[in-house]
Amino acid sequence: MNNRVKQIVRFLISLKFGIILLIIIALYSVIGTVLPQHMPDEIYLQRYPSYGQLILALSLNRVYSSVIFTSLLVLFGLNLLGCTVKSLRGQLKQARKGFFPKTALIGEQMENSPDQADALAYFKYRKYQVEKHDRGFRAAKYRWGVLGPAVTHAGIIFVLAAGIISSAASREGFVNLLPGQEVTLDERGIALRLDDFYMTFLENGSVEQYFSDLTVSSGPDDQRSETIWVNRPMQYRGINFYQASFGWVSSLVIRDAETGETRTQRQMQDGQDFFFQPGHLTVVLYGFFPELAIGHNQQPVSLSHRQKNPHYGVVLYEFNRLAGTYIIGPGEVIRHGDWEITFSHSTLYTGILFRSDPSYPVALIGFIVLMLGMLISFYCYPRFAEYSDGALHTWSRKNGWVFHRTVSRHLDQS
Amino acid sequence: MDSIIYFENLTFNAAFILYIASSLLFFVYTAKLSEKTGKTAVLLTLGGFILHTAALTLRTIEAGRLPFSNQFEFAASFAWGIVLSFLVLHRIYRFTAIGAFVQPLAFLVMGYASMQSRAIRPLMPALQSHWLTVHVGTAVLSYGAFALACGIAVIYLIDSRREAGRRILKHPEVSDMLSYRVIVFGFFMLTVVIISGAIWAQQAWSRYWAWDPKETWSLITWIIYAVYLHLRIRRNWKGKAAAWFAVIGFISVLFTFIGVNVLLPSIHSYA
Repeated sequence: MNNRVKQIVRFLISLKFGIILLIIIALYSVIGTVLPQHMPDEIYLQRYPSYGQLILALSLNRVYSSVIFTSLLVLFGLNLLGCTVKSLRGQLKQARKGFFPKTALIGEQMENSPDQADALAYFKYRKYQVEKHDRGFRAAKYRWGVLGPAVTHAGIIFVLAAGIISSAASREGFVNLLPGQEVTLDERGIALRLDDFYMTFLENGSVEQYFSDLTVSSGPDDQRSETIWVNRPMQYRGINFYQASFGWVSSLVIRDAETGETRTQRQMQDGQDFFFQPGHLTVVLYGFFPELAIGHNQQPVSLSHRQKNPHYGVVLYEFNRLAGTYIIGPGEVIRHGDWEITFSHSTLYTGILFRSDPSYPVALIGFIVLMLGMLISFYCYPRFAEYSDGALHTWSRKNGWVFHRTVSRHLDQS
Repeated sequence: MDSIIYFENLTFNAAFILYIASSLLFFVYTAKLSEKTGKTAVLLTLGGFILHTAALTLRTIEAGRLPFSNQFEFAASFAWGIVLSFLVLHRIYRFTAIGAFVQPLAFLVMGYASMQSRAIRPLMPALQSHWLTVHVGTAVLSYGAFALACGIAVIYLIDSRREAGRRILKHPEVSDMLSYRVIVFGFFMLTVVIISGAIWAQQAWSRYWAWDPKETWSLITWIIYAVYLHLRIRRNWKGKAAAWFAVIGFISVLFTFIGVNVLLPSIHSYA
């Protein structure tokens, strides 16, 4: 390797470059929180005419999934790895029994020199490794603590690796199901059936919890039934099933007013619309209100999800012109021209999110290693003391002042 | 029930008043350095802290859970964390003057809490998890520690401009070192906050990381303090630059707590 390449490699695995990357990652992340994400390109061009092009060029419209951001994270991971490997050799030497830094004697000296026997007794009591020499003794503790940063960095590398695995290999899907409905999820042929969906309520009518009874199977001999709720997913063959959302589905019936013949019957969710060709009518189900009340802005609201006073908010358009707005009860008829429109039989459906993410165990290992590394770094850092010619010096790279103060306080008291 | 609410409000307001009084006394102490004033300020802080603890305990009894689930509750707990951090530090090092720069932060956060709705609402389904206690409990300690570190850093910045005889703390290097130690604790706790939140999010929302604004700003805060610690430990960065970092870090903490809720849409909107 020529000098130029060596210089570049040295820079790429340097602390300086690591810090620069961290600052860029932080700034880029800030943009992702203030700029709306994942909107159509035209919106950025319209809303930000002077710098919309720049936003798109720098992928600021999808910061966290952009090539730029991913590259920054990969570079940071490599920097961390290089930095850690570079320092590891020296750290392993320092972690060995018998290592004593040359700098120890330029550490802090105690103002009142303690008695050698007292100092020795103190360090032995505190489980320091003590070596005697002609002019006094040396004491050291937690030499292995020097490996704390390497362990911490390893934890972060695991977490970054988990992020890459997640973006490459995680699969996610979402399905709305009515009780009794079944769907096949993927090419593996895993079937998901919703046996039941229900809620429990608190005294004030608010929802306490949402429950879905699920049966998942990949064949007649391999099926499992479980109840899931928010914070309690079900796991099956590497896929997690989450209680994600819920809603009401209501039955719309349109009849011929003269003959009473049913011309259409369908299920509609809140907010959905249906175009009825024979009458050139668009029926919009504004919402189902299980316990109707009128809000302070004269809009219908539901006090709870219990069907105590069920009503439907319906908007009708004829030839794209507003034809009327209605609040009706179940089975109550809206008569419009030759047609009778009713809503009834509202049932709860549930939204189930399913996701397989092989990166989670890697992330968990990363979390544990990271915490362990930080504990070692911050609380088991190496401490050294040398008693020589009647003077006691203490030295610690990370926390010299507190270490010196602690030793001084104890020895002064004794 | 009504009497519990009454006493909770009473103790909360009394604690608030004592914090204001102690802040004023701490300022008088830093100006006059009268030992008696300092002791009184610490006693008032301790009194306020006991009442504050009582208010939070009463709320816990009333709600049947720890007070961690909305802006009022977290702000009240955050202020409690600040005062706890100060009292622990005072117990160990006896640096009374620090109170003048930490207590005002506590009463400002208390003031913010008192502007929020105090209604006790049942936990929404997403919050019904044991991780709530770990996640928010460690956030209280972490944010409290960062506030304390910020207060100490401000002392350093003031002292670094003053002559030796007029300094708030005799040795500026001591405030520099204390600020660092407190940040180490806060940083460790912030890591627990982020990790526990990630594990909880995996259970509740299917992803351990989703780049939600609250998550992202916690990470940004973590990065700020990580840069601070690296520069300090590896490059021996001390003094003014380190103190400014401690202040900027705390501004980021405040933005994560208040700014994100007010300005940015987030699935953490209840917090």
